[in-house]
Formats: sequence, structure tokens, C-alpha cells
Amino acid sequence: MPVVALPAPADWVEFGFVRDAVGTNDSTLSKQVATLADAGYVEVRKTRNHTGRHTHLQLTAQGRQALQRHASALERIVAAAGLHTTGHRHAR
Amino acid sequence: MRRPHSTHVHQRRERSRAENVRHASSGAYGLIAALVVFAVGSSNDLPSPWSLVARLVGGGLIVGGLVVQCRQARVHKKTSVAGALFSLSVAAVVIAVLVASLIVACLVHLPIPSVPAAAVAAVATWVATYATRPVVERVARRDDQGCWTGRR
Repeated sequence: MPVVALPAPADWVEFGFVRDAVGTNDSTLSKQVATLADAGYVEVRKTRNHTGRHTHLQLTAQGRQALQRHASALERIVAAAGLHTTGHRHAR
Repeated sequence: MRRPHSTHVHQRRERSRAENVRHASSGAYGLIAALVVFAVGSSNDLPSPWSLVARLVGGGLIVGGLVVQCRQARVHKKTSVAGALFSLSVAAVVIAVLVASLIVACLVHLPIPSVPAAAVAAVATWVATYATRPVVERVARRDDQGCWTGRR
């Protein structure tokens, strides 16, 4: 989820930024990104210049829709749990 | 009631936005912008060829600053219409400060009026880098909400 949410407000985000924000290492994040890229949620761009190799991530339209669906589903679950708790309180 | 997962989505997006704003409004680039304003603004009273040199230095700083800013950004986002309009309005304010300072410098009969006027405008530019950060954050948040159609 955080790997998909971080690129959401941007066009491209640097791999290192996602790694630092999530608090993981290169290897673990690479595996997650590869899985997301295979699913079509994330696009990976690798470039090379005089400072070295750089990897950037972009959320695809499909990934953006999946993130929105996921967030909406979580909101509905939380809202339903809130109504259930309120119902129990009234019953007492 | 706590909403852990949707809050985490919001927090992650906020982190990306904050990084974008922090980089775009950093003091280093504000200093470069101030130097550009000083170089170009003070070039009017300089004798040839130094006026041309000053303008070329200003142009070089603009290009170099933009290239470095783009390369070093960890979060890349295209400038929105609102963001471009805001930048233009800040530039208009800086030009107004430069013109007003030049008028004052001429009125008090300073020997090379464009230099102190450019210095005042340069300071105003550097101050604007910090003073406009809350507005830049608000514009970035509004742009992101325009792209995000899910509920928070």
C-alpha cells in the first residue's frame, strides 16, 4: 500500500525516496516494485548519467484506480465497524 | 474514530507532496533566484560589455538552476496551471519591487540607482521563497485533490 500511495500525488518518484519513506531496504523494495510492475500498477524507469544509475517509479492509471478502490473499501469497512459499535452502545 | 489504513494512504501522499514543496521552495534555489534578479536588475547601469556579461550570468544561473533543481528532485511533478500562475504573480511582485526601488533610488539621486534597486529586489526574492511556502503547499494539496477522486 505505501509503495503505491507515495507516487500517487506525483508524476515520478525516486526509488530511494520510496525506500526511505517506507523504511525498507533496496532488495525488499525491488521485489515489491517488480510485483506491482508485473500487475501493471507501477511503471519503472531506469536512467544513467554521470552521477550513476537512477530508478524512478510512476503510478499507472490502473494502479491509481486500484489504490482508490482499496482506500474506498477500507473507508466502508471502518464506517461499518463504527455503525456496529454505535449499535452495541445503544443496545446497552 | 481512528481510520488507520486510509490515514496511512493520506500520510504517504502528504509525504510526497511535502517533499515536492520542500525541494521547489528550498533556500538554495531561492538564493539562486535572488542572484539572478540582482545580476539582471543591476545590469542597466553597468557599462558595456559588463551589462551584457551580467545578463548572461543571470541567464546562465536560471538555466543551470532549473537543470540542477530538476535533476536533484526526488519527487517529480509537472507544474500545474495554478502553480504557473502563482509563480508568475510572484515574479510580477518582484518586478514591481525592482521598479519601485529604482524610482526611489533615482529620487534620492543615488549614483548607480539600478544596483541598490536590484539588491532590494534580490532580498525580496529570497524572502518570498520562504514567505510563499504555505501558499505553495496549499496549491500542491489542491492539485493533488483534483487528481484524487477517492474518499479520505
